[in-house]
Amino acid sequence: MMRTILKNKLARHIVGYSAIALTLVGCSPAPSAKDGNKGELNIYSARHYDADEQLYALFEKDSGIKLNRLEMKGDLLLERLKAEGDKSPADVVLLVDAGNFYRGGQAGLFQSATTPALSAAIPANMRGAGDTWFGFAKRARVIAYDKAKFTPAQVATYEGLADPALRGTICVRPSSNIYNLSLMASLVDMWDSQRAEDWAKGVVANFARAPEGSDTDQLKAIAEGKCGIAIVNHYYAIRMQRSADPAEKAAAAKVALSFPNQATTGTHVNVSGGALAAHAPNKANAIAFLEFLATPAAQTILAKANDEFPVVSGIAVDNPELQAVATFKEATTTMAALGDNQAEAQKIFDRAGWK
Amino acid sequence: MTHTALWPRHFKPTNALLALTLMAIPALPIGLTIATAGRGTTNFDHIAQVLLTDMVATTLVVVLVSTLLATILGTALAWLVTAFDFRGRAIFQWTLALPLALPAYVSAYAWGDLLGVRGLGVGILVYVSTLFPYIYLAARSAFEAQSVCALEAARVLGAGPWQRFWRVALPMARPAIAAGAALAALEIAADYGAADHLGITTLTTGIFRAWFSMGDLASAARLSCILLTGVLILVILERQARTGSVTGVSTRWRTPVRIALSGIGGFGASLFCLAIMAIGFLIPVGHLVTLALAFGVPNRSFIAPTFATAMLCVLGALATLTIAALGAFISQKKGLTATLVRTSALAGYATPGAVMALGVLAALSMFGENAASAMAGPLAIFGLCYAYAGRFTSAGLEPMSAGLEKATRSMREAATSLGTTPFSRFWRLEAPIAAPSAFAAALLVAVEIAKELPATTILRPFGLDTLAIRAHAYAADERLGGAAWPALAIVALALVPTLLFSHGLGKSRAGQS
Repeated sequence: MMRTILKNKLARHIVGYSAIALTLVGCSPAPSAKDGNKGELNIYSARHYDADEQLYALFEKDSGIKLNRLEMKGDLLLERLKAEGDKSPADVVLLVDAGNFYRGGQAGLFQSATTPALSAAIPANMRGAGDTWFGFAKRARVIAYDKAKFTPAQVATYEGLADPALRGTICVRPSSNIYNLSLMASLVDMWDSQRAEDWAKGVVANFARAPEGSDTDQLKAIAEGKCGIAIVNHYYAIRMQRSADPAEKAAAAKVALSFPNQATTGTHVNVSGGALAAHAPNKANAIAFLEFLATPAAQTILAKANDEFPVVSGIAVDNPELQAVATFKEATTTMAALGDNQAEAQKIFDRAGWK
Repeated sequence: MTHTALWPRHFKPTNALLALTLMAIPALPIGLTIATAGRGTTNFDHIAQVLLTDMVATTLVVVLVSTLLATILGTALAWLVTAFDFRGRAIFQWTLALPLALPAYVSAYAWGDLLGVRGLGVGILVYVSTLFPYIYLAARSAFEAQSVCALEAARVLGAGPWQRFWRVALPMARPAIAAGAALAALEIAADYGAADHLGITTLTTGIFRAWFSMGDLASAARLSCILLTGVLILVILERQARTGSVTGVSTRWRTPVRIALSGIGGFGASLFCLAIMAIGFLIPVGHLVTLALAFGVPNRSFIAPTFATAMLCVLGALATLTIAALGAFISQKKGLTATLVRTSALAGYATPGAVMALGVLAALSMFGENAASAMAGPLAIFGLCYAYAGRFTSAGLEPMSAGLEKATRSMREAATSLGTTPFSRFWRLEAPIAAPSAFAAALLVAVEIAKELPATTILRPFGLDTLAIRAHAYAADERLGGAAWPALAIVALALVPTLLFSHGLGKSRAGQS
């Protein structure tokens, strides 16, 4: 019986589905890899934010250029760019974290894109060497804490997190996360490896639980009383404050943010940004897109929809929750130092037992 | 047929060439990745001193405990639905396979969020509850294919239900159970998504940590070597578990007489099945639905990703099945060739998807001038199918080999004596007999491909998103509610082949074809 099914039904199904599938392959939009079609722009992005959808839609509408995109984690994105070499269809590479830009720059994946508009809009410390990449938004790694249990003075510095008085209160995500690696890299740059390791050991001794989950999970854990203090990127907290979900809003109301080291070295900041790909087939469109990201319209979207700080000065932030924390002293660590110290940062975390 | 003196007797150059090609398919990309292990690195000393003991110990605990529990659970459930009758049995019989449609990482999102804790315990819960169906399905099909004659002979000889299970049914089903358990163990060893989300430090998460945090492919490759050594040991153990098993399965088949459970026993059996269904499927999926509804419909449509996923499932399954069928054909004759073909396929199954994908990139760039030419259009699909075949051939090869065993020696000898060539005999005798298993294997592979994330992410053609990629994008942005939508779409899509597989399994029995 099965034999006849195989011969008739199954065989026909297989042929049918294959035909459909092949048609789909054939009909899928052909990548404009090398034809340099003027109307297109190929974006490789490690960002997955909803704000990006608004940015893309606005750019397509204003410029008439059609966007094609490929999204994956920053590390994978860089590996794929390396493998593609000079045949890569990528025009613009959007990444999060200076460490990733540093690595891409080292591998020769970007090219210089100096233009008057970009030079005027983006501060020098928010650009890569030789304008090989541009930061378009900033994020701060801050201390979130339970308002009811701690005073701002107790959580005023990164150094203070290693204080034995905070035993059993700190929650944080695993050390392999790039946000933690960059924070540690900045501490190594500011102090030295030994002091940074001693600090990490002190923080580990204060853990309320083994590192797990995301930044959002740590914030929720504070609201649930499982943790007293967490290290998080500022926009996750702002997002909870602005949430449409009343439960999230209520949780966020229990949590306060401290921008650490205001009296001393400043709060650790990092960038998300874009670069012109080394072998961009649609170079003019790519530069147009990078310049677009520095316009007030794009900067406003980044601030409003993703709660990131604009890098361009004089932007009216239409986001009261973000505006409330927008003025703070930033650490002066160079973005290159973050990339340089990344492997060392992971080793320090490992030795300190920060999983 | 005569053979020339050029070759030793029984040595067929075409077969040897085919076997080598089959071995090379997973081995080449793995080898190319592993080849970087010899490169100098300063980080590996650090990993060896600080992390390695913990990684190996955790991997062993997670793999062994999860596999053991999944094996006990899967076998017990299979025996329960085959040998007994109770309220809901006919439905449970096939719905117990549903957790297979739930990717481990999706289950980890749901359980991690629901319980508010993570770590090793939740990891084992996730692995056991999503992977026991491998063993359940293998054991159920083995129990169902068993000759009732043997069980009745045992009953006549005075064996009680327990004795019949322990001394007759279980030994006969042992190879199938061992194969299912091996697949589950390898899947756990290669898992990155769930382990990473739950914060479990395994060798696989260690490979990614060395690669991503330290930018050190050489250390990542050395850790892969350790993982593959473990896999080799597992394969040897699995072969040990097969030897000495009873293979004389009669081809006579009758509807088995199930023992009716009533009262407390029947209620307990129904409740047990329901509880497992709830833990493995209903609770995590229900929680995802809640999260999805609270989040609202995401503003990016996932209709195109659904089509893309379905297309990759069909094409990937066809490619994988072709390789698996050739592998099954080659490994009919037990021996070194068969062992090598099977082992290389199992090694592919245990290789994390990202490692396989990087190897495929390297392999493609060996043949083409540049990997990028393979990234555009149909060639990218070829690269993906290659990666799927490299990863999932085992999932097709194992059930097909089992199916081929139904073609008995006497049938084969009769065909040979009638003058067929081995290939035409395979096509006219073994292939039709193994067709139901092949179809089932294809469904299993399709489910695997629907759930696959890292290799698809790296190798996909420009502009193509699958559901898994979309779900991961939302999860990476810490929006579980947004991830829930495409995750549920994966489950819905994977349910189709899972149900076909589970439902159709009972229809292929020895002596029926």
